Amino acid sequence: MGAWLATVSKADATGALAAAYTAMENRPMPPVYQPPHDDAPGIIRAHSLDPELLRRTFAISGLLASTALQWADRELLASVTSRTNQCFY
Amino acid sequence: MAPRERALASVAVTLTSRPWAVTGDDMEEVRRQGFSEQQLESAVAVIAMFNYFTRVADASGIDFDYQTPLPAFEPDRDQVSAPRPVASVVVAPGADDRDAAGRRVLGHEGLRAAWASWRAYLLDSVEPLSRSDRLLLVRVAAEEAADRATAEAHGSPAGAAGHVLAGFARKLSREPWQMQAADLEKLRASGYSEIAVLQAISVTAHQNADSRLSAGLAAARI
Repeated sequence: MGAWLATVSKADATGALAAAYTAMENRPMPPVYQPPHDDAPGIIRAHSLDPELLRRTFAISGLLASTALQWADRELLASVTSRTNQCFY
Repeated sequence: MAPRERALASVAVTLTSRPWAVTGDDMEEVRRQGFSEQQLESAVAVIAMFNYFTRVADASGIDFDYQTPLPAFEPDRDQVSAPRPVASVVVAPGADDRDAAGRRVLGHEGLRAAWASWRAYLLDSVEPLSRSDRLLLVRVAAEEAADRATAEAHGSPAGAAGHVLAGFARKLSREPWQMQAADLEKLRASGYSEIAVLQAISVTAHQNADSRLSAGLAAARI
């Protein structure tokens, strides 16, 4: 099933979007967050129509991954927040 | 859940469902559990950011990406959002940890700059969404977070009545779990391009995050 919003897959990406996808791929990430497909994760792909928006949005999540908070605490906060919003993400 | 995790989770629940209700006591409990000021600030920023990501996920209809041995989470789409309060605390401008509009800002310099750059891109761009469309989305999202200072700084409430973007922003802010493909169709039918739809989602979700960041930082610094 595809997203409701139009997105551009990694295979079709060119220019700024291709560069943004590559930059995201090169970030350190635990194996559990490797999607079981070759495309970019859905939440990143959702921003693909606007590579500059993608870049500025995920710059923040990148910084949040390197703050004083432990990984497990960050995961707890993320999952409680999602659960409170009744969201699978 | 251990007291340490419970203190964090409690802030996440309140800041997400009732951002106006988070208190200095909630934050004090997190400190009592051994978290530093920097960690507390990071926690608030993570909660705020996931209020962005969950809304983008819900509005864009993306699929679940990851393989997990856990049972699939079944969202309760009938969940009722908390009633919005009639009044909220107004912050006084002027202190070092506030911006020109009197809003609390992050102490972490890199994060503060990245957040400001993200916000500027979403609020100050003029294409493909007009500036007035952006401000309308911001105002509705801020209202729904009872962030009255931000809502009032972004135009008059009267202008939003009946606007297709206002209804969209209200639903995405208040009941993101009820978003459907048809909600995007309404925007397209009103002439918004696909990238404009993405930006409408993003501006709304961003203001939900930003109002929660401000509320959380304010509670942490009382």
